[in-house]
Amino acid sequence: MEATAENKTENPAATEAEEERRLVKRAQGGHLPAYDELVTRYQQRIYATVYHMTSNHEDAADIAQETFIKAYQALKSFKGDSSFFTWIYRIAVNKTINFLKQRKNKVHMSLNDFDLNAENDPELVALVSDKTPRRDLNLRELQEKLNEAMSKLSEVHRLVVTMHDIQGLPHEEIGKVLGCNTGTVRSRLFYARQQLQAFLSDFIK
Amino acid sequence: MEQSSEDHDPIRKLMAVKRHELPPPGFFNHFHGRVMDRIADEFEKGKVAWWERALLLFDSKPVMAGTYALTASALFLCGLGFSQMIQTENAQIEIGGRSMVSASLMQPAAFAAEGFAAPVSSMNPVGMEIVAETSPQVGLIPDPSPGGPPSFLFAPAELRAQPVSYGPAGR
Repeated sequence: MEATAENKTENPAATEAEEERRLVKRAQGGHLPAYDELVTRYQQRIYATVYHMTSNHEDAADIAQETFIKAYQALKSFKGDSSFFTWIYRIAVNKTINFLKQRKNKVHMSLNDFDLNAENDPELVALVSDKTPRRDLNLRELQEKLNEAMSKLSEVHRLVVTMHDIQGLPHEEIGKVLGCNTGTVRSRLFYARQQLQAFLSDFIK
Repeated sequence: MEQSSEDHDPIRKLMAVKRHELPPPGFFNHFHGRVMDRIADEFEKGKVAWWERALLLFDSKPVMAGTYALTASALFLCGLGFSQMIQTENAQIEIGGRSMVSASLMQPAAFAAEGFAAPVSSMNPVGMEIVAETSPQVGLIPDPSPGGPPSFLFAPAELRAQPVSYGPAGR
């Protein structure tokens, strides 16, 4: 018993994965509170991914909600070959890409506000004051420029930037979600950054 | 690639700024509740049909959807090809030797042209049921030029009435 407790404290990731499996199993059996727990766990990451892809809060909220509902409906088909997070992320990504294809180029931004930490982020302050030719550029303008640049990327390139540079997911995890190898992820990321560099050249001189 | 990755450092930092974009305060406090309410609404009423479940399955596994679509297309094309093959074979059989159906539909003149006796059924008067005797005499007109067309075709004036051995049914 003591050894098990020790293992748990030593390997929190394994404990979390085990806890996730248990929740999924109970949710598959129709236990709604277990699924509620899973939604609570992943809502922020799923919402953020969709939001950074669409640059629109309302769309992101709708798609994230649809994602969790569809995932619940398809939960019985989840065999546990990948983690629940990878699986639900894949659903969110597919729904978002379908949505963007339907929306085509009609980008209607509805941007969220920055949190309070943003203004005090030393890296951000350094970027804005040192690198930007317009020193009076405020956060809101920078945010619009960033989202505009993102919207110029293709869906797959926007996706890798969102998952890696914004959300901090490792290449391997992105590969699992997108169903491609890490080499493909790296090359897409490289190409996407090249394009962003061109679009945002004013800010990174 | 590593060098290029360093070149992209400013871009990565700029993109990281987006992490600070957050939805309105309290959004996530209510989000999961709304999801669960919708799930309860839709599933407690048992609204999910079998085809909706299939679509959901495809939604989570697009590769599976593609595989199903490919299989269905392949089956359709195989069926189409198979049916065309059968049609071609039938046509060849009809060209090589006349099929029973086409032979039965031939006109008496066509039979005569080929040197055969016309079948009994082709001489059936309309509305009369004819029963043939075991020794039909039709087509027994002597042919002066064996191998050639029957002579009566080219000399209609010499045709004589021949006693035939047909009678209405039941007699």
